[in-house]
Amino acid sequence: MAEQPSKADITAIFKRLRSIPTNKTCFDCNNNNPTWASVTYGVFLCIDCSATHRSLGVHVTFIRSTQLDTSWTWLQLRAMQVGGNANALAFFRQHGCTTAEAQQKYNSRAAVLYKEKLLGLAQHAVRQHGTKIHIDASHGETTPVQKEVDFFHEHTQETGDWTGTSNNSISETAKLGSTAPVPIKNGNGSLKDTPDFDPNEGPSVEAALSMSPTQAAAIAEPRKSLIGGKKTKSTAARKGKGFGAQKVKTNFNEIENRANQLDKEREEISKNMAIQEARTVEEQQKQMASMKLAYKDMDAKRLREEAKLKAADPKKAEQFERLGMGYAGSRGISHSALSDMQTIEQVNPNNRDRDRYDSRPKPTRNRDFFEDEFENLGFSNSTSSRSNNDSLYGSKKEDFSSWGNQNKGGSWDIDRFDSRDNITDTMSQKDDDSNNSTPDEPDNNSRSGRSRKTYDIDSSSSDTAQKKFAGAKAISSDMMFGHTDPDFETKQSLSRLEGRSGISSDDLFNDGSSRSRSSARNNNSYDSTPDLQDIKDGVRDGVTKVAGKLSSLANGVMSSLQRK
Amino acid sequence: MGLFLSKIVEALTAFSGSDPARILMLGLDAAGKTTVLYKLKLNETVCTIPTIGFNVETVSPVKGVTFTVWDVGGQEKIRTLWRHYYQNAQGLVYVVDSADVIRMAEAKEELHAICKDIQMEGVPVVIVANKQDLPGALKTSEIADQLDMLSFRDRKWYVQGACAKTGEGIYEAMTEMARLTKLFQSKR
Repeated sequence: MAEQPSKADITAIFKRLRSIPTNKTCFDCNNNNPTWASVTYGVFLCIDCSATHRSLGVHVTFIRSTQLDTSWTWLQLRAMQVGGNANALAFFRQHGCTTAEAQQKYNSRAAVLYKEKLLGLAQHAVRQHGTKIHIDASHGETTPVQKEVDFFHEHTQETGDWTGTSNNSISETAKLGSTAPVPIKNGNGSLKDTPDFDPNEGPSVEAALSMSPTQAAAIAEPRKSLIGGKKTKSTAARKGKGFGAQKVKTNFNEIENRANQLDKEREEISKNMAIQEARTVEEQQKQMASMKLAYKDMDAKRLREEAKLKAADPKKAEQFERLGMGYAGSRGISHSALSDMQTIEQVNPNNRDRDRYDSRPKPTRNRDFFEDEFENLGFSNSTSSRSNNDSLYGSKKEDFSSWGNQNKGGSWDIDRFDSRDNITDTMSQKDDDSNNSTPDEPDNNSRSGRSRKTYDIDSSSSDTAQKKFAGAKAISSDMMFGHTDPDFETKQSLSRLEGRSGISSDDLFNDGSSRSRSSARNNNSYDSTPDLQDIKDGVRDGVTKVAGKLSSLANGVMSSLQRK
Repeated sequence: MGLFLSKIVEALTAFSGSDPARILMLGLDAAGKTTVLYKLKLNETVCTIPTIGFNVETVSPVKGVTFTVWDVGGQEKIRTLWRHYYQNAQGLVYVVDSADVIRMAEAKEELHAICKDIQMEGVPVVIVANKQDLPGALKTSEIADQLDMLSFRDRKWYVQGACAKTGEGIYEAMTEMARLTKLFQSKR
């Protein structure tokens, strides 16, 4: 992740977040002014409820203090920003989890779902905003405020939480009375925005942002002149009512001509089509040839590289293989995973690809239409999101919708391939899946994955203790490095055990002595007064250990003991 | 006879009675320091709120051994106050959450920072690898590696897997602490 947020950032963000009314009470018990937070669920808690959370373990919920912890990461902060008590509450209610018992509540399915969802949202927010956008962004006074509003829109949109109203920014007017649970904004935002933007334009702007700019313009322009246009048309019709018949006749002629022309055109088109088809077939055959070559080349290259990798670093090769599986490249040479390519060989891909390519030209129009539209969609998505990032008014709702579209596009993609050719569907689906999942998967697992990774590195760098004491419940420095002064220690342990009736070999070592000692403690725990055995033990311990300093005293005691 | 008894009492007080060893209990937040402390003190599992400030209790987890255990909060801002408790510490009980794999590196950093302090020179360290009952908890050996215990050559240390909820392992840790503390005192 990016660099750590500064302390000022953290305090600023929490000042903002805690000013939200829903965040002013504890998520679990409704106590006022919670200062603790569960990062996992993005909720604010009071100190008492944080105690219950902490007892659940970090795999369930991770607690931090909004005041006493200073090393919040951006991901954690984003989780708090996109989360919040209101969203969590709405989600839990929506999923029928109303229990107040923490153990049940946070081990429920709703909790797991929300945890995952929040992580995804937070990661998306981190990707989208990085470290640049936070409250103290250098965009003047009103802009950061707007950005903040957007943030809440984003998450209110997601969880479907529609409470409260305010229409200050253009995005809000577009969304028609959706939430902005940020009370401070009302003054600033509305002042600035209302004069600039007619609320009626809201929807069209939104539409424009979700499509490509040109398309949007095409749609938006006629709409603007819609009322005027209608009027002129209707008046013209009224005017020409008297001698409408003649005009209709001429129109018929024209129509006839047009129809004829169209027929001719169609014939031409069909001719062209045939030619084109022939051409495309030729081209595809050429392509196939080149593909074959490419495959050969690829295969050879792959084999070479694989061998090299394996020779150089077997671990890396393994990793590469695994990564390659997930990271499907271009569709033409799609099954890019090293191992996959091996199994397919060169006969299969040819057949498959021929099938794929031959089946395509038949529904040419369909395909073109689909692909054009798909490309348009994809293109518009990217542009809209880009423009959103650039534009001041780019509301997160549009971003989210485009995000959703992209996902839809992904699934659509699968459908397309499925319906088109059954032969390749497994392959293409695999590709699609991998394409879809690759950006998500590492993110979902990034926390655990990262940690595991670091742990792996650590353990591989210094795994001596693990090798030595893999199953041990306790490890001491003596066991690790050997006894520094064995005489003294064995003497000591021996002396400690002198008073006992039996001394086993275990007792000489740390484990045994501790066991016997603790058992002795348990046995004697009920009587509070020291007995003679203990006195003896204590004295002997003292004599052996603080021998130099207190030897005379101990000697006196011993001698008197013996005399008695 | 009277002289003898008084001598015995004197000997007792000199070794175990009135001069309990000063033990510091530190570790990251939510590691289980306070839970360990009250398990030792009351033999009860208490649900503790985050420690703001510190808890101090006199406990005798092992017969004939008395510790004054200082349990200081582990929140980041409180960690800067840890050094004020270093003086005359005769042992360090460092509690880690074995299941918190992500923050193990942070725990290591803090531990090494403590041990680098001049006042903590040679002070024996007992690591309580707490929360062994949780899923995904690191084993004792893994904890020892992750905390880079091998680099502590100037002092005695001991790593003990434990579960403060059940009390498993914490008495063993304290027994070892008692042993190491006595060693440390005699060396001084």
